[in-house]
Amino acid sequence: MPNPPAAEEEAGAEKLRQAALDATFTGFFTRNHLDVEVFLQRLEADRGMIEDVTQEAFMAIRAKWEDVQHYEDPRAYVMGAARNILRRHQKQRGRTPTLFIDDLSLPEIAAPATPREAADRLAGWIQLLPPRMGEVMSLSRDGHPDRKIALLLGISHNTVREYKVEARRKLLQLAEDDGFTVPAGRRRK
Amino acid sequence: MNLDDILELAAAHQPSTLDRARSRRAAERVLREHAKATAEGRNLLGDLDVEDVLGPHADEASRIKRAAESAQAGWVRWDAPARELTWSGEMSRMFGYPAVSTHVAMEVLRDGVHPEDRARVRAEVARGWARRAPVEVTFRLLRAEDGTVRYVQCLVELLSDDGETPTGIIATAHDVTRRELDRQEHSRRRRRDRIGPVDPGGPHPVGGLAGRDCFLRALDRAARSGPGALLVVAIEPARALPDEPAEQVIRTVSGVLGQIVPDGDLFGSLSPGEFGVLFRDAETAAETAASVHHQLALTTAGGMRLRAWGGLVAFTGEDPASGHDLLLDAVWAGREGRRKRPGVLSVLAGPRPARARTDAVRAEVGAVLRANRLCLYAQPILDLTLNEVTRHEILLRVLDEAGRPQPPAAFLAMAERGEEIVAVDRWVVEHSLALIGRGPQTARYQINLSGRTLSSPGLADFVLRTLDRHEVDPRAITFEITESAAIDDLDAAATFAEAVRNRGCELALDDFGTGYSSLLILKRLPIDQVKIDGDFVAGLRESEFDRIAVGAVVAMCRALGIRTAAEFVGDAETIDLLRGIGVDFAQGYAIERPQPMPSPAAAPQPVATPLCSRAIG
Repeated sequence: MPNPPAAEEEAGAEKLRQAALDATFTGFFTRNHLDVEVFLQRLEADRGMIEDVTQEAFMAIRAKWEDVQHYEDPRAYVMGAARNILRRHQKQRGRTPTLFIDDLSLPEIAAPATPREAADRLAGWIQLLPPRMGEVMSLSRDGHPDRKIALLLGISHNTVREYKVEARRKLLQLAEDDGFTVPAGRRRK
Repeated sequence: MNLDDILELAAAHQPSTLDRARSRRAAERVLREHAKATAEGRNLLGDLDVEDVLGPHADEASRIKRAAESAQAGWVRWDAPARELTWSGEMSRMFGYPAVSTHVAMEVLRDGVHPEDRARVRAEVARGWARRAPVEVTFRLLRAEDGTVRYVQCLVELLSDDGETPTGIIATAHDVTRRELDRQEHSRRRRRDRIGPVDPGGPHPVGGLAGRDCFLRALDRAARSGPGALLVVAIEPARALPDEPAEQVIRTVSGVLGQIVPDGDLFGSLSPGEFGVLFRDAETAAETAASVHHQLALTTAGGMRLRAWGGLVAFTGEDPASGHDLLLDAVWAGREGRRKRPGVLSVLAGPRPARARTDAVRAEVGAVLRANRLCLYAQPILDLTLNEVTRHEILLRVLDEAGRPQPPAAFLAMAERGEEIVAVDRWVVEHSLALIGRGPQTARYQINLSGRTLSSPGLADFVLRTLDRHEVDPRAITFEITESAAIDDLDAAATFAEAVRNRGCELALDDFGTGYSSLLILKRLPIDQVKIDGDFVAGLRESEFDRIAVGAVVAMCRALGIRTAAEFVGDAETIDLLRGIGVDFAQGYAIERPQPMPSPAAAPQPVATPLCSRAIG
């Protein structure tokens, strides 16, 4: 016996709705996927974990894409979600990352030559900041205004402002420790 | 290149074609997984905030509270104008209270912070308030419920309605106990690995031979696990040689042993001119040993023809003989063989009966004592506070067949196996006090007593009578209890200690930190001075372990009212280190080698060697 026409129609409409959501989501995904990964790389060294977290975050976003697409800033929202998921994964890893500042031997570090190398070097330093400060720094590098960072991380504006100053001071110190002190000429290739 | 250059360069990062392709594949995977999960009815949201956190919110405080709650963190808020302190259910549970009241008293918060962390937490929060800056502080939380301790990390933030005037504080707290314990364990392991276990008695400094201790340990193991055979060869001339030719002999012998002894069998230097080989194969041992013996007798070192005699003893691993027993048997066999059939290796098919060994030891020690083949040396001890020699330790030397004084280690090890050590110690007390009584008695003297002697009956009477007889001031005498044998009877030792201390003598505990020289003796006997074993002193400059251990012993002894001395002090830098650590006395070649008594003992002089004068300050 065939489905009643009303139910059939409803199923067809739902299918169309999902297809439309899939389409807008795919656009959103390809625009932001790499940025989310770069953001996470500044908080965690394990690339495998970052891939898993990114996928999990986007799947959650897809699940409520219907709402999220109308949010004030879906891109910031996915970063906040990814950060929460990352912290949960890190907690479940059992041991916390055993990279402590006093562990680092100091081999000669070559100056980064490409934007990718520079981004990796920067990520390595941000990972050494206290976790929350690293989050503030990473979001701020991603271009989010202070107010948005405060909302995403659940901390006060004042804290965001202070942490940005403090993080820059610490990064300067880390860069100096690795031998990056002399400013390059403005005309760099 | 500096930080800003790197920031700028990193910002220029553009996704490559490869990156874009990867993104497309990832998007397809997410959509596929999402479709599958929806079909299976799985929940993909997890603990995601279901509202737009970026949407409009009432005020900063409620926003932070809500974020904390969704992250299962606790919060506590101080509202300055209302003078009101409130906390969340989670925070209340962290402190060990049921989550019933939203208001909390300041005292409850204060008492929840571990007493040792309280001042620091208060100072940090005050600093944050004064500077209007957030502070992150980690402290221990003392749960009211059951007294357990958790580590908590708190972000203390200033609230402000207008972004200028602070109106209160909000603190969000996470339980970081596991992370903190990981961190502590990590740094503990790093410290442990850095200091590391220290390898005991490595190869002999000359010729790569095992030293006496190392060889004896291996021999003890072999005697229990057997079978095997032990060869001891004595070499002449070696004992009376000066350092340089003596090392030449050791190198030559080591070379010969290295050629003949099968791989995997151990050989070592037991004392000057005495070498041991431990064979694992008892069957072929006799033949190999005979060839070693033969070859050594044909060898010259530094232009001198070597003479060798030796004894071999086989063991099964089930004999009641210890490693040291086997050593005694092999030495005895060698000596007997030399007397009866010179030039031929003497072989024992197995260890002697214990009785025969004891009798032989008694006879030998008795013979040495009767023939007066013992003499006394004195080694100066530097008072590190005055930088002046104020004491001497009296040391025993055994005269060999040619009347040359030899270190007594083997002789004492033999005597300490039986009651003979008591006779030897009494000989030392008698002769030392006689020599001291004849001198001007301006210095103090330290005389060794074995643990076994200490508990022998009548010792106190004997010592006190001898002191009187030679008219020695008891306050000038310190008795050193050596560790090489356990004190049989601590009560008897305590009786002796009390008797001699009542007359003004002092007691020292020798070789502290090794063997039988334990904390228990320190607890039970009225010790005045602890002599830290040379094992912890000789490497003091290089070894962090030694510096930590010596420092801890000194601190403990100070607190107990005990003075400390260090043996085996080899150089001026070690003297400086010891003075810095707070050790009271130093003894060793850096101060002076032992000298024959009575010459220095008759007129002990404050010795200021160039080393000592340099060591000032």
